[in-house]
Amino acid sequence: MTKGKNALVEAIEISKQFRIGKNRAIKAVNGISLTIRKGGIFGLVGESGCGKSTFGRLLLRLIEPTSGKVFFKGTDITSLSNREFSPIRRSMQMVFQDPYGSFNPKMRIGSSLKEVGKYFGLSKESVTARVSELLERVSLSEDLLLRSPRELSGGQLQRLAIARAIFNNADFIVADEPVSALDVSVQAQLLNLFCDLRESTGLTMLFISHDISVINYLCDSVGVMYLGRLVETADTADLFHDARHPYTQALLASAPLPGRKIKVVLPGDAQDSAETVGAGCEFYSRCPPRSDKCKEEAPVLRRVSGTHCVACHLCGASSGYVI
Amino acid sequence: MENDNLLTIRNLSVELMTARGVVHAISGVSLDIYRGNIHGLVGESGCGKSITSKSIMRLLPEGRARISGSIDFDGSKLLALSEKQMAKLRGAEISMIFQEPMTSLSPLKTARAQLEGALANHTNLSRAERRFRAENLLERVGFPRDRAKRYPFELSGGMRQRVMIAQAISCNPKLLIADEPTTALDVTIQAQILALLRDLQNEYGMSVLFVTHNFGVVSQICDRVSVMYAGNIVETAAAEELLSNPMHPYTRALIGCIPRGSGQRDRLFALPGSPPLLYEIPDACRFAPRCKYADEQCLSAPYHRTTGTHTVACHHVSADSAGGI
Amino acid sequence: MKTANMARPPVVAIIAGALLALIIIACAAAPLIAPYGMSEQNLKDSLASPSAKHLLGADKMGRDLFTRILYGGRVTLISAVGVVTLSAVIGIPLGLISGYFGGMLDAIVSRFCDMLIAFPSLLLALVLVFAFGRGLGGAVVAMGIAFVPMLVRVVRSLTLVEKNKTYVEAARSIGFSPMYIIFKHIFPNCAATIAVQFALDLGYAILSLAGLSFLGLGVQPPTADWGAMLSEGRDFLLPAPWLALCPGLVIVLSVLCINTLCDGIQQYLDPAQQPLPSFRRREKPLEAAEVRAANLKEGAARGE
Repeated sequence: MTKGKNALVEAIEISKQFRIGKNRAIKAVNGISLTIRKGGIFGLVGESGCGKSTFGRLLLRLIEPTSGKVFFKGTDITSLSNREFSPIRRSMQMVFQDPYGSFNPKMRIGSSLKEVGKYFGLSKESVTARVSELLERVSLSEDLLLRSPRELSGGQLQRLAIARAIFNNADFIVADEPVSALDVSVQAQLLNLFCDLRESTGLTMLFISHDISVINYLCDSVGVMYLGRLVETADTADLFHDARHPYTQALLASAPLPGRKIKVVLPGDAQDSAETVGAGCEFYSRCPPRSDKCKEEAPVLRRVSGTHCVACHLCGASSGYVI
Repeated sequence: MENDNLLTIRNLSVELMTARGVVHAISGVSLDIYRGNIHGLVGESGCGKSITSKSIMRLLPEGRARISGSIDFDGSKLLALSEKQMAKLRGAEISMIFQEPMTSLSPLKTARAQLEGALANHTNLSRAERRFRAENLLERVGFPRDRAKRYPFELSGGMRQRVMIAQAISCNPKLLIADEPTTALDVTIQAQILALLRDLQNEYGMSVLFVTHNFGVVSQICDRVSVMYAGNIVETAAAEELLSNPMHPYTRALIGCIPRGSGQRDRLFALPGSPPLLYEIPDACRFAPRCKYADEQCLSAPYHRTTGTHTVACHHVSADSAGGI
Repeated sequence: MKTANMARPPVVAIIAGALLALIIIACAAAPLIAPYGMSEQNLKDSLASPSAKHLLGADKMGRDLFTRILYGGRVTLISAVGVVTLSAVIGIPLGLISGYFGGMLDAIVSRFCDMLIAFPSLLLALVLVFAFGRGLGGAVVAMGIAFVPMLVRVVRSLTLVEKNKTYVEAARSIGFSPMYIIFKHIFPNCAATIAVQFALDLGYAILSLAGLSFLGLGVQPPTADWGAMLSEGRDFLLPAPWLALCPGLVIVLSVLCINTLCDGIQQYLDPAQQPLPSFRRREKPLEAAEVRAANLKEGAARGE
C-alpha cells in the first residue's frame, strides 16, 4: 500500500486477537490493510462477528491492536502515548449503533452536548452558539436540550449523537451500524442527513453496516469483511456491478428487496468457517467454487482493476467466478 | 370465504396498562389467515404487530392487558378457552418462533434434548421414539448431526433458529407464528431460513403468520400481507399486489423509504413526524398528521374498503378507483 | 384513569422515615427538650422507675434516662455518620478507580478487600481500635476503615456494569480523560445505589459503635452513648430492666427505620422493583360504546 497524498486514515497489517480463557484466542481482525481517502464515505460490510466493529474501533484507537499500525494524516497513532494522542482524538469521532445508550442517562441532552465543547476549553458563548448551529444542521429544535435521553426517540438521539461527533469539527468519523436500530422511515431520514453532511462539510467517514442496500445508497467505496479479513474492496459502483469474491456475490444475492426473489447461495454459516479454518482461505468451507489451493493457502488482497482489490485465488485479474 | 380461514380475528383490541397509563396498543384489528398460506404482518416498532401475535397465543400478561374482540382458530374461540385448554393448544396446534432464540431455548439442554422435551410435553411417545423423532426433525431443518449434543450458547444464531423451528413444528402445528424470525440473522443465513420456512410450510400444509418490519423479507416469503400502523391494520392484500401497487399512503411511504438501486444520489423519501402515542383512541385517521394527502375527511377514522383482494383503510382510496389517489 | 391501580405509595417507608426524622430532631434538640442536664445527678432518685418525674426512670446515679438517651443519640448518630462518611471518602473513589481501570490495580485492591472482609467487621474494628487508641475518635476511625472493603466491592461491581455501557464508550471516543469519565459519568449513574448502601451502612454503624461502646472501647464515661448506656444498664437488669431496655429499643428502632427507609428508596429509584400497575379484576373488558363503534366500522368494511 502506498501512502497516497489524499489518504486520511491508513491501516497497515492491523490485527486484534481477543483471548478467550487461558489458551484460546480469536482473531477478530486479521491483518487488514486499508486506506481511507479524504472526503467521502467508506462502507464496511460483513456479517455479525466478522470483526467490522472491532476494526472501526482499532482505527480510532479505542482498542489497542495486537499488531499493525494505524496512520492518521500521516501520523502513526498506534505508537503515540495517551497524552500525545489526545489532541488527535478530537478529530476522530464515533457514532454508535444504540442511540438510546449513547448518552449519559443522568444528564440532560443539553449538558451532554455542551460538555464536549467545555471540556476542550471553549468559552461559554461559543459553546452555546455551536450547539444551536449543530442542532440546526441536524434539524432538531432547541427545546430538546432540556430533555433527558429517555424522553427522546431513537432517531432524535442518533441525530444528536452525530451532532456531538462533529462538535469539534472532526475530520474522520466511524459510524458503527448507526441506522440498524431504527425503523425504516427514520433510517431514511438519517441516511439523508449523512448525505447532507458529506456535501456540506466534506466529512470522511467509515460507515459500518450489515445492510448492503444502505451501503449501496450511501457509500462511495466499500470493503467487504469475512471472519476478520478484508476479502474485497472497490468503488461502490464497481462492487455492485462487478463483485468478484464469491462471498460478496452471495451477500449481494441474498439481500432481500421488495419485488426481487433471492436465492440461497451459501451453505452453512460463519461458525462452520471459524471451526474448520486451517491454513487456507477463511471462506473455504462455505465457498461453492472452492479449489484445493484454497484449502492450503490463504489468499491475499490483490488488485484486479483500478481500485478494485480481491482476496481470492479463483478471481483472476480479468474475470471472477460468477455464481 | 370464512371456511378457508384457519384463523379469523375480528375487532381485536388490546389495552395495556403501563406505568404512564393505559395504552390502546391495538384497536379494531380484523385479520383472516387462510389455510396453507403465509400471511405477513408488517409495521414499524410499536405498531402493535407483536401484540397481535401475542394475543393469538394468549401470551400477554394477565391483569396488565385487556383483550376484547374474537379470535377464531379452526372452530374454537381462543379468547373463551380456559388457560388449561389454551396450554394444550400452545406448542401443539399453534406454535411460535421468536427473533432471539436464546430466550426461548433452555440454556441447560442440548439441541436434541430441547426437542425431546417438547415432544414429551405434547405427545406420549416412548423415549426411543422421541429420540428418533428429534433426530429426524433436526435433520429436516438442516441442523448438522454432529452438533446435536451442543448447548444453545455453543451454536450460531442461524443454528439456534433452526432448533427453534424444529421445536415449533415438532407437533405438526396448524398455525406457526413467526415473530421477526430472521431479523437478528445475517443475510446469507436469512436466505437459508426463509427458504426453510417456505419448504416446511409446503410440506406440513400449515399456515404461517409472519411478523416482520422488512418489506424485502415479505417479498420473499409471504402470500398475503397486512400493514399495521399505530394499532390498526391499514392495508391488506396479496403480497405481490401490495408491493407493486401499494394504496395506503403509509404503505407507499414505507416502501419508498427503502434505499435501493446503485449510484442513486437523490434523497430518499423520508416520512416526517412520528406515530401517535396511543393513550387514547383518536377520532381522526391515525396517519393523517404525517400524511401528505390529509384533508377534512381525514378527521374521522377511515373504514376498511375492499376492492377485489385489496383492503385499504383510507378516505383517499375509493372502492371504484382502485389503484390510486 | 380510574382503572389504573398506580404504584402503591410506600407507606411503611414513609412511616419509617417520619420516625427516623423524629428521633434525629429530638436528639438534635436535646438541650431544648431534655428535662434535666446531661450529667445532672440526683442520688435520691437512684434507679428510680419510670414516672412523671423521670419519664424512662433514672440510673444508678439518679441521672434521668430520657435525657441521657437524647444526648446519647447525638453522640451515636453523629459518630455513625462519621463512620460512613469516612468509609465513603476512601471506598467510593477506590471502588470506581479499581473497577474502571481493572488490571493490576484492581487485583491488588480486590485481594486486599477480600482479606479484610474475611474478618468480621467488629473484630477488625477491635483490632484497629487498639491501633488508634480507645475512645470515640478511635472507634469512629476504626469502624470507618472496617466498612471500606464492602463499600469498595459494591462500588466496583456497579462500575463494572456501567463501564461497558455505550455512553461510557461514547465518552471515551469523544476524548474525555478517564478521571473525568469516572467522576462525571460513571459516578452519577451509580450514585443512587451507593446512597442506599450508604444509608444501610449507617444502620450497621450504629449497631457496631454500640457494640464497641458496650465493650468499653468506644465512648468513655461520663459521655452518654446508646451502646455505653446499654452496657451500664446490664448491671441492673433485674432491679431496673428499663436501663438496658430503653437504649436497646432506641438502637433497634433507629436501625429498623433506616433499613425500611432504604428499602423504600431503593424501590422508588429502581422501577424494576416496583409492582407494575394492573387492571382491576371486576372491570368490564371494554367500554360498550367502543365495541359498538368498532362493530359499526367492521360492518361497513364488509359492506353490511
